Amino acid sequence: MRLLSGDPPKSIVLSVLLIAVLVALAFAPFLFPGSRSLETAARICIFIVLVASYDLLLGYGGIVSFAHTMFFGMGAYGVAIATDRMGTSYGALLIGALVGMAVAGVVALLVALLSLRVRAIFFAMITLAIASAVAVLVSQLSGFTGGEDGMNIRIPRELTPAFRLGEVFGTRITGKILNYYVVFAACLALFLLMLRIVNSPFGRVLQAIRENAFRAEAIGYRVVLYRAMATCLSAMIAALAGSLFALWLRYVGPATTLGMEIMMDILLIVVIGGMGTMYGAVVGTAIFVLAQNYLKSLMGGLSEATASLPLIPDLLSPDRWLLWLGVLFILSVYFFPTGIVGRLRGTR
Amino acid sequence: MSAQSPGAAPSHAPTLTRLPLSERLKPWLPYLLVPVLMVLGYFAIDSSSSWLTLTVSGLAMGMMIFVIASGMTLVFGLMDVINFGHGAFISFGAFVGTSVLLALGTMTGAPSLLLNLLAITGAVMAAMIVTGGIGFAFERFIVRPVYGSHLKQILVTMGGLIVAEQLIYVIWGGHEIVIARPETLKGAITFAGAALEKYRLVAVAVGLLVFLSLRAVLRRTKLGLIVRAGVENPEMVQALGYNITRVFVGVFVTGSALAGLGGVMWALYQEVITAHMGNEIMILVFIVVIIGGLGSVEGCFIGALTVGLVQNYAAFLEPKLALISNIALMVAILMWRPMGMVPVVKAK
Amino acid sequence: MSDPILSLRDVKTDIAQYHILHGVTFDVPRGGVTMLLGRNGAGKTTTLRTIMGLWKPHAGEILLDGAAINGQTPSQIARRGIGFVPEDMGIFSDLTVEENIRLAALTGAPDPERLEWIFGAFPALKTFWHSAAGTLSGGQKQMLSVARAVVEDRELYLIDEPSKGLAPAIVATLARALKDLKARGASILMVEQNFSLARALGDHVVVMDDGKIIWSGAMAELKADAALQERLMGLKMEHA
Repeated sequence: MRLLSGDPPKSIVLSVLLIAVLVALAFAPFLFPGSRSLETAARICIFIVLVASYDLLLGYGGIVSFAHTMFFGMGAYGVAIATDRMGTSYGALLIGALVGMAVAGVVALLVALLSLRVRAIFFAMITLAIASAVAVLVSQLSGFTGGEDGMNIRIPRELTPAFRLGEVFGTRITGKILNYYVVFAACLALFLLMLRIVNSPFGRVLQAIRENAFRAEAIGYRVVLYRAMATCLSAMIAALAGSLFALWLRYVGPATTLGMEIMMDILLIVVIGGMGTMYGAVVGTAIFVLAQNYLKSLMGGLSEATASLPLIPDLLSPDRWLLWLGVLFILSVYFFPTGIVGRLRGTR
Repeated sequence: MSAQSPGAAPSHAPTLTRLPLSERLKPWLPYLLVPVLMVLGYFAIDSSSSWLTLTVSGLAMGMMIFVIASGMTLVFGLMDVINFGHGAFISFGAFVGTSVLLALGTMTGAPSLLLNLLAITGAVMAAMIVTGGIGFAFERFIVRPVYGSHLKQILVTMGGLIVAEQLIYVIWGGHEIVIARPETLKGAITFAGAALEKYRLVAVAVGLLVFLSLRAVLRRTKLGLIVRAGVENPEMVQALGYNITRVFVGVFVTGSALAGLGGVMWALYQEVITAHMGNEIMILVFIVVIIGGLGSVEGCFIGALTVGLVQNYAAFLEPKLALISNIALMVAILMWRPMGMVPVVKAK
Repeated sequence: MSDPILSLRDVKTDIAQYHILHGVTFDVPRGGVTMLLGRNGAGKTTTLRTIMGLWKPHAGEILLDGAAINGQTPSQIARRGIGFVPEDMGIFSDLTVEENIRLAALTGAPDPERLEWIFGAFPALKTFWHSAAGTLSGGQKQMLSVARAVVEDRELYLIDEPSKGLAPAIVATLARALKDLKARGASILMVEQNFSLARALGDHVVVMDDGKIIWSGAMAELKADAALQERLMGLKMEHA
């Protein structure tokens, strides 16, 4: 209970789902052997943190940002550039992550002060503009960031598949699996930290502001300050998630970290999972990543089955999965504003 | 005190207190921005013919952005509705217009100005009718259920944007489409040693025409009176006996149709269209409406021309800076006038 | 009171989660000025806004000239013949005085004769005819707000505290104009805190407290009965 900061799932089905996700991720290398499923598991871990940090801002702060992938990318590029310049070492990884986090925090603070001071909706537009400009800038400054091609990252040998440790339960333990557990442990720690933040007095003030900014201001809370702090925290955690992503993929490029598609994915997961719940990030991410893999093949099958009909196969083509997700997204904002978690908890 | 004949009534002619010149100039400063920028550009760019070329192309770009952004800013001013899906109208307009132009290939290919203009008129009409219709549906089904909540508006209209963009893929396929300008609008004319593309001059003329007509409607007609009053205090407009919702739908549809017109103009400007072109333009549109002052058509016009000029001058002087030049411009203007250049008075 | 111009029957209005009107029932007689009195927070402004359709009552009935108007939109109600001067005056400050008035004329253009009457009552409006309404003084804005409501004949005028925050000379100008309007046979429902103005203009009185009507009758009756004044006005009107 202390680990959960006094914020239990409050629903049996939700608890079961969460435990299932936790167990699956904790023992992923043994339960689902094969590099592809390990890849999926690591991606789920990192996205849970990324989405939860976005929920901190959107669900708890009531602020829409379109620059979350920019902060994610700052962490990833921080690690890539640091190891590129300083050579491969744990120190370089750490410094890269810390610098990425610091830059993300400072940029977030500046954007927040510039826009939140005036109107909360400016924030959405300004972050969209800045994030797009940064994405293009990154692909142009090829000398520094590797441009469109991105950068390969050389990480210490102990974390690569080339490093062999032995065998446990019939699974060969390689550096890749060690790397996975680094990612898993860090993500778990970050998630619990965020759970603590949203249940702290700071988190409660943030929610009060979301409910009624005028009243919160009248009671004497500095609304802009709280929102700016939420923006910073959220950006810094996103940057750390980015560093982990870079560590795991051993590669960073504009499309994998900065793309608008990832931003859309985050937005969809938060809303469908349940805004302002934290656990929504876990359930939403797990369902989303799995659905992305399996629903796409289902759609492919349906599309082939209806190939003789006009238009229908185009609508059902696996490439159009975002279309149906978009429809689902709109419907969930209307009818299930609290998402899956809200439904399971029985709140509207 | 001037001498007055005894017995004469004191004159009641209103006399305004004389303010110092700088104070009296202040409200007009935004209007001076564009000419000042042009003069600055003249001194920064050593060749006057390059300056002229860049200025015309900056103005052309600015005018197109204005045509697109004007509806969005009015929609916000009138009903406090922020439409992140506005970009979909741009893309749809471009695709519909391009399809019509491609179908009328014999007319666009003929070296006859009349036939060319006829084809363009057809394309523009089709694009505006389609985007106006989509706008009507968008308002009814996407925007209307979420009046009053900015957070939900941003989410839902973003969802609408995703769906609309995916529909473009379904209808027109995923690849970009190349569209040549009509025969008589190809090439450039030479003026004062500078090569001025004919099409850009047409774009400037069309943009100016849209601006002047919008202004005339807003200043001289009863409908314009209702819209301007509604931007300030929609409740009072209703209490005077006007159905503001109907007016709002009209503005929304007009704004969508104008975005469609802008989409066709942009398509012929770039001579290539993609499904996400609307998104890319929207970044400039957001910058324009923010620096212009959300809700103000005049501010939008000044903002659009400023952005167009800055973008073109910067691209010539320091190509790498072109991208962030507009972000820098936005930051500078927000620091100077946090509510934008022409702030809109709102009741309450 | 036979054939009232406006009747409220057990009207209840909530704003957000608060109950503001707990069953308001009263009549506004045809012709003359009905004063709606009561202390701050009694629900007077809410009553006017509810009649105007700006708040939706969740129970009760509002009859204008015998026909129910509750549930209609503000624009429909305005077109049924109600002129409204809101508490905050509702001036469009970006529009000129002329544009403010023109907007209020539903038939298109204001009637010249009516305009002459308005200019006679409020000369300042003629002086500043083409100035932005935002540049007017507080008193001039109030005059504009009243002028806007009366630019065309209406069945009923709802006027919310026209004297609020204005200098005595301007209040006198407004009082003269309203008296003139009354002499033309208009029906007016007016909220007023300034009792001397209420006494000078009012024919009928409705007193509210805590979202309910606590007394209604003729102004003459109230004027004559010092004890009744004491009891009702003690609630608020210190400077009677």
